[in-house]
Amino acid sequence: MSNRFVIAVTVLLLFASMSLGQADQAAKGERQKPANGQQNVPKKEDAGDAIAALLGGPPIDKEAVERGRKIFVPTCGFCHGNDAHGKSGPDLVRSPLVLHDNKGDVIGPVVRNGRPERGMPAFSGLTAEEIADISVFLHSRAADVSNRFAYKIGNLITGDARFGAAFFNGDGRCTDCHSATGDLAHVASKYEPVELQRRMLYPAPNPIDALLGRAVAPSAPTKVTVQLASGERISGILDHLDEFTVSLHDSAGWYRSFPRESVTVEVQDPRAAHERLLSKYTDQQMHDVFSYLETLK
Amino acid sequence: MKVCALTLMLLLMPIGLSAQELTPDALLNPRTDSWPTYNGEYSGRRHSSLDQINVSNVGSLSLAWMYRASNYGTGFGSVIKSTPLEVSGILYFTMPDNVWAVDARSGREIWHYKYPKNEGLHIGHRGVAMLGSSIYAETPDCNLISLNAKDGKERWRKQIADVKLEYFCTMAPLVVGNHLITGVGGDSLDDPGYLESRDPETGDVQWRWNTEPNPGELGSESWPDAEARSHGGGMTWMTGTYDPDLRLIYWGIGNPNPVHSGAGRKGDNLWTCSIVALNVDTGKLVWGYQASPHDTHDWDATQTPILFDGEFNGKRRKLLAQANRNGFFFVLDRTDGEHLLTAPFINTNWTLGINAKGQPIPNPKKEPARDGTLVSPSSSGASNWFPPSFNPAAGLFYVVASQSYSVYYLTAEGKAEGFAGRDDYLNFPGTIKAIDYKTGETRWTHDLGGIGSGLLTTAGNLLFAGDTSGHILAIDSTTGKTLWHTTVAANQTNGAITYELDGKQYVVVGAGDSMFAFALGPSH
Repeated sequence: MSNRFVIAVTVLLLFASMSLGQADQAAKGERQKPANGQQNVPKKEDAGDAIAALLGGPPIDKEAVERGRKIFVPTCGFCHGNDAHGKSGPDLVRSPLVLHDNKGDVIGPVVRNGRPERGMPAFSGLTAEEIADISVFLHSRAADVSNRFAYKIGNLITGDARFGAAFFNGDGRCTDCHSATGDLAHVASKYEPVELQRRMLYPAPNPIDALLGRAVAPSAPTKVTVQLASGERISGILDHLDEFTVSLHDSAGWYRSFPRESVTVEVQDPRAAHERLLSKYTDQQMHDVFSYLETLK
Repeated sequence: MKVCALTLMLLLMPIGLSAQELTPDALLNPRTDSWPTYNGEYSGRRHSSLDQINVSNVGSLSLAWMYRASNYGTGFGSVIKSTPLEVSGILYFTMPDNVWAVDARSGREIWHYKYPKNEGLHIGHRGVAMLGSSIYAETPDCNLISLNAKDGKERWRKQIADVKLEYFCTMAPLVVGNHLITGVGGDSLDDPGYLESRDPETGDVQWRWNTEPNPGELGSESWPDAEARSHGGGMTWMTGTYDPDLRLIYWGIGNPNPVHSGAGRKGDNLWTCSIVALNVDTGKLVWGYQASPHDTHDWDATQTPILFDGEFNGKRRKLLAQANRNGFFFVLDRTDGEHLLTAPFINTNWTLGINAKGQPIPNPKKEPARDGTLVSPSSSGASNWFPPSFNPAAGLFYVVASQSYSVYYLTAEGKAEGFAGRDDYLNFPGTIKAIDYKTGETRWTHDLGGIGSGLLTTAGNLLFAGDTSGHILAIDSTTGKTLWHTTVAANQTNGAITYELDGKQYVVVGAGDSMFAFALGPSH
C-alpha cells in the first residue's frame, strides 16, 4: 500500500523531469478548459488520495494508521521515537524488517517476544489486530518519508514586506504589468503560499498539478502579431508557436495558423519579464517581494 | 561468386553459433547493420558511420514503417523510453513490464513478452541487453530476467535489488565479455547504491561494487558516520560505457541521501554524484571523479560518460566527457581520471567557484531552505537521462540542455530522511547544445521547446532529435540548422538509432507507444 503511494508520487515527479513534452500538453489541456473562479484556486486536497485515485489503487487506511499511532506512541515511542525515526531503539521508518512486514507477519514475533539480547522487552499483551495496526502506521511513516508531494512546505514569509514593496515598485519593474490594487488585489487570498511564491517567480501552469488532478491556474494570455509577406498584420492570442508553425485565435475568435518561414512573428510574452528576473533575484529579494505579496490579502 | 560469398559467410560465422546470435566480439566492433547495445557501441557516442542519409538528401527522408505497441498496461511510464537493440534484422525494445521483438525491415511484431503485474516503480524503462541467443532486462521490481531471443520465452529470473526497500530498476544492462553489468535505482528511502556484474548464463553475482566505501577505503572519510554512510544513496540507474583496451567500465553514480538535506551527512559523500572507473573483471575502483561534492539538489551524475580519443592542449589523449545534470561539462583523462576541463553549459547560480580539481564548490546558501532558495538548474537538471551524442569528426558533444529554475524547500521535521524536501519547478525549457570538447564553448544552440528525448549523430553530418511539438528533426550537425522534419503521433520519447539492412539505411525513433522507421524515398 505504502509502496503504491510512493510509486505514484515518484512517477509523477519523475514524469516532470523525464517526459516534459507530455507534461506540457497535460498542463495545456487544463488551461484550455473554460476558466472559472473555482479553477483559479488550488484545492487543498490530499495528494496521496489524488495519486491513489489516479492509479486506481486503494487509499491508505487512515483509520488503521490512527489506531496504530495510538498504540505505537505510548508503547514503542519511548525507544523508537513517537515518529518512529528511532531514539535509543532503531529507526523503524526505513527498517528492512518493517518494510517486509504485512499486517504483523514479520514484526509480530519480534514485538511479542522482544529482543532481550538487544534490550527490547516483550510486548506479549498486544493482540494480532493491534500489531497489524502498528504495521499500517509504520508503513504510513515510510510513505510520509518517501512521498515528497505530501511534504508540508511552510513558514515562507521570512522577508521584509517594505523592501519587497520597494522592489515591486522600483527595480523589479513589476508595476510595468501589475498593480497591487488592480490585478493583484487580494492575490494572497487566492493562492496557498507555496503556489503564490511559484507564480510570483514564473506564472506558468504547473504540470504536476494537472497530473494530480488539481485545478491549474491558467497562464495570462500571450499576445501575438503575425505579419504576412503582403504586409498584412494579424493580431490575436497565441495558441502555439514552434519552429515551423505559429497559430493564434484572432480578434473574431477564429483559429488561424501560418508557416513560420513565410511570416514575421512578434510575441509579447507576459512571462518574459519574469524570466529575466529569475536570473537576477537574490534569495532575499525573492523573500521580500513574496512577503509583500502576502500582505495583499 | 555465390560460392565465394557463402564461404566468406561461413568463415565469418563464429563456430557453434548461428548467424542470428550475438557474440562478445561482435560488441567490440559493431557492424553498421546492427545496434547491439544501449548506446550502439561501448564508447557511448551514439554516432554512426553510416552516411547514405546525409545533408544533401535528407529532404527526401520518408516513413518506411511504423509499429504501434498494444496490450502494455497503463501508467505514465508506459512510453518507449528504451533505445532498441537491432541484431540480425530484429529490433528488441521495452516499456516497463514489456519486451518486444519487431522486424527491423517491416515493423512486424515477432513476439511480445509480458512480465507479471508487480509493485515496482513503473517510471520508465531504458531497454535490454543481448548475448548469444539471450535477451536480458531488468524489471520494475528489480529482477533480472533472461529471455530466449527466438521466441521471447523466459529462461530465468534473479533478484538484483529489494523492491520492498523502494529500489526500482529501469536500466538496460551492459554486456562485456562474460559479464552482464546491472545497476539499480530508487532514492526515496535512503537505500545504498551498488553496481553488480552477473553471469550471463546463470544470473549469479560475479562481483559487486558499493557506492559507499567500506571503513578505511578511499572515500570513506567523506562520510561522518556509519549511519549516514549506510543510508547514503548513490544509485546506478543509467548504462555506462567501456574501454576494451583499458578494461575499464565508466559509470555515472546517483545523488546522495537524504536527497535535499545535507546536515546529517557532512562531507563530500563519495562516490555519489561521481564518475567512477571500475575494472570490468573485478569491480574494483581504479579512479573516481566527483562532479557535485555534497550534493543537496538531486543532481546525480548518471548522464552518459562518453569516451573518445582526441587532442587536448596539444596532446593526444584518451578522453571522457560528460554534460552533467549540475550544469557543468567535464572532460577527464579516462586512463587515470585526471581532470582537464570544467565549463558551464547553462547559467547556474549554485557555486562559489571551481576548485583546483575542477569541481564546482557548492554555495551553502543555495542549499534547500524552509522558505526556499531560487536555484538553477531544477532537480530535473541541466541535463538528464536523454542520451547525448558525440561526433568525433567535428569534435562536438551534443546534449539536450535545460536552463531550468526551481525553488528548493527543506521540509523535514526532526530527523531528515528520504527526500527531506522538494523543489517546486518553475520552467521546463530545452535546447540542443553543440559543445566544443576542447574549450567547453557552445558552438550552436537549437531550441526544442522543452525536453524529453535524446540524440543521434551520423557521418552524414546529421543530428536526429525530437522537439516537444511532436516533430522529429534532422539537423545539420555543423550549423544546428533544421534540414528535415516530420510530425508523428507523439513527442519523441527515446534516443534514435540507425542501421543499414539490404543496402538501405534506417533511422528508428520511439514516440509514445509507437516506433517509427525512416529511410530515403524511392528516388534514392
